[in-house]
Amino acid sequence: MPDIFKTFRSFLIAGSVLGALYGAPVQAADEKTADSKAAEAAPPPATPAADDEALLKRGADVAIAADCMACHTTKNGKPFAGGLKIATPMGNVISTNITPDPEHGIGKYTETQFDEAVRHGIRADGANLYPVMPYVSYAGMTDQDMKALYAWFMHRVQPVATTPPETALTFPANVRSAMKVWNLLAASETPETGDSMTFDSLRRGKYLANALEHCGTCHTPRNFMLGEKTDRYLGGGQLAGWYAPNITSSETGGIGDWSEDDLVAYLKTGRVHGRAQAAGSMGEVVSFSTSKLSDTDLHALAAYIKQVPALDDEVDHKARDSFGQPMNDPDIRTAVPKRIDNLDQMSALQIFDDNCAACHGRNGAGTTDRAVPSLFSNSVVGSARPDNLIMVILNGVDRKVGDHHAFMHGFNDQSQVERLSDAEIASLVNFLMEKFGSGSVNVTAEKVAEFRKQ
Amino acid sequence: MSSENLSADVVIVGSGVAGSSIANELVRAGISVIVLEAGPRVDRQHFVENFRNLENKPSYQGPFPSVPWAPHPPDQQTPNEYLHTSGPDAEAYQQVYLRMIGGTTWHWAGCAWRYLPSDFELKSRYGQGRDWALKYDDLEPFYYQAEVMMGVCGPDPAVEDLGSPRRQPYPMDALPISYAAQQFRKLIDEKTPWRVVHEPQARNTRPYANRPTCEGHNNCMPICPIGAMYNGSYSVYDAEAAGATFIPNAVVYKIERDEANKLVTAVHYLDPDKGSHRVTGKYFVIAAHCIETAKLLLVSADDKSPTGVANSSDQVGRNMMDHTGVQVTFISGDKALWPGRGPLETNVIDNFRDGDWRNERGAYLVHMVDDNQVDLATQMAIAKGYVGRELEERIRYLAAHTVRLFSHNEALPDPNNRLTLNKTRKDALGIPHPDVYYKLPEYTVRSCEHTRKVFRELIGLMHGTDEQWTPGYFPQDHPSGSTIMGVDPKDSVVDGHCRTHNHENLFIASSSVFSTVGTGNITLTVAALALRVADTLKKELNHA
Repeated sequence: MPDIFKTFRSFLIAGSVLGALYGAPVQAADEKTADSKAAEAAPPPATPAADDEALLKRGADVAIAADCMACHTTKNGKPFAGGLKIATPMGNVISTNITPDPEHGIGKYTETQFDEAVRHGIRADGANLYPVMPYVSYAGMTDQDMKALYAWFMHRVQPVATTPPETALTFPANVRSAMKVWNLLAASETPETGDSMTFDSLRRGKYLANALEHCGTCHTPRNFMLGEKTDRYLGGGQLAGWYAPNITSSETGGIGDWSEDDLVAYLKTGRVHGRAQAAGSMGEVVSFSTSKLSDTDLHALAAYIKQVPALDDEVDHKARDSFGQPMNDPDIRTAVPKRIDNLDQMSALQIFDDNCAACHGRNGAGTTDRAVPSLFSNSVVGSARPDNLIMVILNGVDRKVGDHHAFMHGFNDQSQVERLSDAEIASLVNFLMEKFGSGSVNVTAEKVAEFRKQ
Repeated sequence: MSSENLSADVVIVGSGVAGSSIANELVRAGISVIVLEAGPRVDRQHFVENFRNLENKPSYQGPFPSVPWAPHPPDQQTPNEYLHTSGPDAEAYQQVYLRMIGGTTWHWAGCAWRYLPSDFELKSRYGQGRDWALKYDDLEPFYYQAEVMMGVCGPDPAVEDLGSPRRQPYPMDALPISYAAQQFRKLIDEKTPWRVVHEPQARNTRPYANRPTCEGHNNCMPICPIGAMYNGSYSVYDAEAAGATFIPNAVVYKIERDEANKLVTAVHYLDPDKGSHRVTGKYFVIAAHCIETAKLLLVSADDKSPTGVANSSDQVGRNMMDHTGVQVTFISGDKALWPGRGPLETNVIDNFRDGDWRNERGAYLVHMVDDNQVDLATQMAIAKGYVGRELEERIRYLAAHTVRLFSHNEALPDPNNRLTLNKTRKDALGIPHPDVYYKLPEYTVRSCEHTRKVFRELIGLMHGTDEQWTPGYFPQDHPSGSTIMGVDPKDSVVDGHCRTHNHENLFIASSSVFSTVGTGNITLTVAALALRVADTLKKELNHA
């Protein structure tokens, strides 16, 4: 999830001040009352075309492309029943049940109310959604796709009669109406019109990237008001721990060295040998969304991304996947086992040898069948930002695409396999970047500790 | 005496698969637990580091040197520095095990057999040995619970029925069989009346419980480098996450009872500096491995129980059993098998696990081991004088054609096969070392003779040469029987719920309670019995 709440706090304070200045007092909505009123007042939803298979198919495709699943479904939970916790400095935002259950989900939403929520961030009871819900992106959807999405949710999603816990942020973020001020200031996508399936390739690619997949939500950095910096479009954004890298066409800072086919393969499978593999939020994007797009859509999306204006990167000055080679270090073996209770921290080479080499190979080349990626020619290790390398060591990889399950256990303090200390991970990260990447950036144990808290 | 107040609803001695899984079950039911482990806490990377440094890779005890205050056998040699065996078959009882957080499943081959229903009724069905004080059906739900806990893969019972009825399928699909195993299966199918089955394994065939899929590193013993195989350490982590307290380096040396000698009131442990600590509780579980459990009951002897705690039957330390077996390595004259894909043990001939002949000779199962044979092949090629390119070619040939077979042969409980305390040798804390007298029961000898005949037949079918038989008998590290289960307190130590006959709040969770030893590896049955103990304790503590 985007780590927008780091600056959210200052914005909300500013928002309250703005609200006061403009004489529009910020009110904490009495949501319970609003809810019950809405329930009484709302007419039963007009029945959308339950048998319009073309429309329903379109709706299913839109839901996949817009990746509703990633946030509105917990791991092992029922689809769209909500409950996923998104940690923020002001408490957890908890995604809601968007199944068509009338009491616990959105079953009573009219098409208009649904549209208001998805494209404008306003709930049926009038309260504002938090912009964790990417309604500024979905604002770009066509009326036709909105209609299809509504029909699909109402008819094809299994109702689930459970209500996830309420989001309870601390003040001032708990004042939902403060969002009204933000909405005035944040740039929304311009709505597209017509039939999105008939768009030419470039327009279709842009529509997919911006209105549906909302790439910019993560990959575009945000300004101090938390709006996306339009002049740094897809130039790389900081998330909670993970870094969504620069994916502009820059050959030094972005992915200009990738072919369109590389990008399609990445979005379809989550991995491209010698370039990168998806983990964290991007792993979910691939699992739930991009791996299910048609090849035509994938090529349209890739071609659009490929022509996004190149932006240099502040940190990475050479393609992230262009570093490193197989390691060829002398044998460090002594033939003498250590005493069993001697748990002194080992050397970085030993930590690598005992925790990484079994799968990634002692030379770091991965497996010949490419099930385990090589550590060199790898964007995660090659980037001068250690963020994703630290995060993947802590949290591992758990990416399902079709029948393929890419899994690496994490090394954090919940790991069943090995729990590395902050100092051990720092030592390992510096070693990996030195041997296989663009050089050590002297990550400290304290820095690892910060990532561990994410 | 320290002044700390160590107390819990249930105090468990031993943190291996039995102790840690009981702790996990209890603490998740709101019952407080303290687990005392004699050995240290060590993480996987340090074991892997030791393994990588090890010259003798097959020495599976090698990466786990013990600490002075909790010694374990350093190897299977006789004599060794800790477990002193004597008797006609002393060498056949050189068991090894580990004393440390997580226990001996740090190194095991992951074989997760259920026993057969007949294994629990050897006496009534075949007139041999004893009956257990429980039936297969009593254990079936706990077998499944153990399989889920450990993550066991196995065959679809509709396709390959292993003889132990199941209510649920295995949690994971069976391992894909290796090329070597395919060749072996083909031979057995075509040329013998027997069959080869998938060995059930506590090993991931898909990502399971946040652990990865097995990659066939093939060093399950001594250490799985990636956590694809079950280790007791996972149950320790799970129990700790739910609030159980594990105290490493806590060597229990005394079991204290009340005035009437009916209830256990505390256990006492020594820390590595010989400081003594008293831990009180409502219930106590000794889950300290067959050998250490019997040793602890014996060292706790005092005026009230001069022959040891829970020992009014005089059976503590007796009836020591194992799957003592036969092993042969030979060079197949048929086409290359290329063993070594791993994991180590995946294929078993199971035709000799049960039959009417069990009234006179023990049952057994046969492993065709899928381990890498380059070490052995190299030794053989050098010994035969090959050099240069021919040496390389010979190693290649031998490594591709070497076959290793070994068996698990059923022992019987014999009171004369006995663990006692060594009178002179003591560990760093002054606790006596264990001695074991062992003579292989005739029942097992006859079983081993039958196995040798079958092995010779297989060698003939594969046009084998260069047979190397392991001399004598081959210990399997499956010691059992030292606190034997039975319905009669006069001739057994625990009842069908693993509760000691003498002390109603003292339970034993270990292979030491086995009344007979069957043929399958013992760990899954240890885990199932342990989970059943946890179930009993939950009922008694939560309904008290």
